[in-house]
Amino acid sequence: MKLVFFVKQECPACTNAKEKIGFFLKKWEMIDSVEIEEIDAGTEDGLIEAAMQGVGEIPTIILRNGEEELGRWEKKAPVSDELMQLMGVDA
Amino acid sequence: MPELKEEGSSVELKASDNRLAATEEMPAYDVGVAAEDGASARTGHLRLYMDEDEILGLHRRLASKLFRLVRKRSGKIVPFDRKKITTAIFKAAQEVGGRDQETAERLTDEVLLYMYSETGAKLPQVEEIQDSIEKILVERGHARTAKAFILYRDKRSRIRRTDINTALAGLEKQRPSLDSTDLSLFVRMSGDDIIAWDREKIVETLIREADVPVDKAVKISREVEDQIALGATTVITAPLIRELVDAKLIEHGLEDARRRHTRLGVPLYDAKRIILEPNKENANIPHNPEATNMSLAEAVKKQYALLSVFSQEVADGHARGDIHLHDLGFFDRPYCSGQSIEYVKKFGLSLPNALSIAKPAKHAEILLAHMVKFSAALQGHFAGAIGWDAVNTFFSPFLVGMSDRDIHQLAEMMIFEYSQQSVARGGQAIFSDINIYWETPKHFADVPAIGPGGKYTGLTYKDYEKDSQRFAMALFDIYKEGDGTGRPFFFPKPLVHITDRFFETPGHEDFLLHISDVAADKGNTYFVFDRGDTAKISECCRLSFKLDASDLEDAKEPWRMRYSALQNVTINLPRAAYYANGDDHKLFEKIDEAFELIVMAHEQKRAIIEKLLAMGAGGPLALLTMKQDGQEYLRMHRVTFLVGLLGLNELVQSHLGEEMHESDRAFRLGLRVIAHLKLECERWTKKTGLRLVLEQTPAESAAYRLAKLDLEHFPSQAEAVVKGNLSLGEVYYTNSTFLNVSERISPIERVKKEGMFHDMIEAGALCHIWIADSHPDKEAVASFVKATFHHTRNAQIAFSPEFTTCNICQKVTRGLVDTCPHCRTTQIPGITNRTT
Repeated sequence: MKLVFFVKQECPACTNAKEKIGFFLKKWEMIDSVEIEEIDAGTEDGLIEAAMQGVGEIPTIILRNGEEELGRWEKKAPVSDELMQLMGVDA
Repeated sequence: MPELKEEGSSVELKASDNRLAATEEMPAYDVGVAAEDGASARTGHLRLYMDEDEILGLHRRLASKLFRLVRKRSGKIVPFDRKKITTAIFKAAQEVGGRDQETAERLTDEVLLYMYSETGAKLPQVEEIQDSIEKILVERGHARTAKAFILYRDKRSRIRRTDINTALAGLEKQRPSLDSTDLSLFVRMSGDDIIAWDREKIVETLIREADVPVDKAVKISREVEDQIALGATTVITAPLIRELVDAKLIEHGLEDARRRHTRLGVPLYDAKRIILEPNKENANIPHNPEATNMSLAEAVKKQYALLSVFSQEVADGHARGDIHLHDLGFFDRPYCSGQSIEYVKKFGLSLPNALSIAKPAKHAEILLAHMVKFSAALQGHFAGAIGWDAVNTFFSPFLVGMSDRDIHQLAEMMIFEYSQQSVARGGQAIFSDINIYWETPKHFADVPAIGPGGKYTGLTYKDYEKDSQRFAMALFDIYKEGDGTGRPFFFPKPLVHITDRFFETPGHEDFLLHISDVAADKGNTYFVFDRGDTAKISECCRLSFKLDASDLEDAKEPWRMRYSALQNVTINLPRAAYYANGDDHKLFEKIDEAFELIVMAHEQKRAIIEKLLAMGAGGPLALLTMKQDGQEYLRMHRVTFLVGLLGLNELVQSHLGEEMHESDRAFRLGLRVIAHLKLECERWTKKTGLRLVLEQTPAESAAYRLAKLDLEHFPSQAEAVVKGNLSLGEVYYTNSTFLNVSERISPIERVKKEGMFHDMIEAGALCHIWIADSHPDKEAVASFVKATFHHTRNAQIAFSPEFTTCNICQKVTRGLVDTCPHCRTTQIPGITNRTT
């Protein structure tokens, strides 16, 4: 499973979203089992990747399982219950 | 005091105290200084204290300080020059054999003192001065000189008054002499005037207009005079003199002065072509006297802009084709704008310099009239589109209680008023856009509604949603019907905003089908996608202003929501690839160089607009400085500066040998270039304070112009990539970030791929879906629109059908046909092919 963060420097909402998800991943003891990719949308490469993945807002968080997109959250972090459910974490 | 003696072959000057005992030879006219006339009373008592020289010296000093300015016949006020009086007197004297310059000087003093005694320090007129010269010459006994002066004056007057050509015919006999001082030459001025040759005018002009040093100006004027004298003409035009002077300025190495001294205008050949032939470059411009006025004025203003508004570096960049400065003929106004009807509803129609002022409208029809008239006034102040936000929402308080039939009638009036008003920019229709929402836009939903008379109704806009929707439906009824012959309307362009809330609002299915029907049938509908919290005002086909937090704060008082893009400067992307010749690093280096030119151009445009705005109510942009809501109508702190994109596909094709649709590698290079430009916009925005944003360039003329220039400057590289028909010279670059328009790419693929660029193009992007002569059903179009909204990042789409309008029977046929199916005409000239 992979979480892709599209963020920008000097974006408080991006920092909050990363911290929130990081907090829950630790809590669920999944920090080592989920691959995290952070893409800076303030760079050329980041903008290209955002365009290719249909990302138009910052922050955007995408949860993937292989090629399958399980969830996408734009301009906000996911609610923890929703993320937990999509990641198959036992309550 | 000298005795005054009547005319004779010679005159003796006798001073009582012998100080002026010397005899002056005056063969034709004698000397007059203040003596036995009225003036003697004033000078008489001085005799006790001053000798004659002293008196004359006093006269000279006094006279020289009396007048500083003079009003010419043209009304122009120019510095007073006593030499002109002296010269006139002396020339008149010469006509009858006189040779004494000093006498002419003394008479000049007399004239000036007389004028001052008669009128005081009042600004003298040329005619008054000439009357005074006559009077003094006669009164001082210089009858023959006076006669010569009067004859000369009369001759000049007749030349001015009567048939100039007849007068000139008489002058034809006089050939210019090689002696420049006797040059018998008349100059036809730029205005309705013809004057005698005066080399001094060249000197004055060079000093005044071009800051040329006096000695250099005199030298050049002599050289030009010599050159003219060598010819055999008796009449020369002021423009030709200016060109001769310009040539001399170049010879003297004064290039900067030549620039400042340049005359603007068009060759006779071009003027004739503009007046007699239809405008082939812009199909929107009709062929009538108003339009040719505009074309001629535009040509001159373009030249002015390139010489005096933009720096040489920027102007050269444009001329070379690295960049394209849009609407150069309209440099003295902003590019385009977004308006709010709330301004008209609240303040009525009260425009600077208007002959009458209207209070806020009380009826829907009057509101419409105000809106259209305001649009016409605004079109005179913006080069591009006049867009109106949330038209059906803001009209809704005026529609309460109106029957469907009346609303239909109002919708019809709105569309016909805009499409038939040939009042703007050379008799064109107003380039107008109306933004339409099915739901009440979120940012206006709770805003207090302004109703008839400019008064708050006590309700909010969401309370009028049903009436707003009735109006939206009615507008598309009219678009569906088309004009009197069934043709699609060109203006106003309807921009329907598709939002998340659109799909949550009851009735949206029917409305979507209705506007999809119009899209499939007539091609009018523009589908603007505002996903998430995005809110926009769209205009000009693709340009849009995204509303940020402060804009949404303004939305509480919607009349404040006025936006403008000050200028559009397009980058010639393929050119960067030609320079780079396959080198990645150089490609981006060249893009950056062009970008820097674009930034300079925008700074220079901002400077000229700020200068014009600073002139306030007395300036040419008075309308944009009116402050009915406390801030200037044009909110400079909100304006954007557009970086137009052209030929991305050809850049990629030239650099990699593949077009964007041909490989992932090519497509990614396209994305990289646009990403790079977006970041450049952000970097330069921070650096300069100019709000720079990317825009898809709308102007087809730029696509043609830059392709043509590249074929000249980079023939082998350009020939390999330009689109169109090379042999016919009908070439172009692919618009902005579009994929090759002539390639068969499925609409879904096109919308998806082109949409990938749209988030980076902040000022607006559009994807055309070419449906040509096919007629998809409305359900298919609606379904396509929904899928585009939900599954792509595309910002806006429009469907483009093709039509043939028969100029014989005026009937319209879908698709491009050679024979009119209605009247069976087969004459191609009788058919006009149009696309929307």
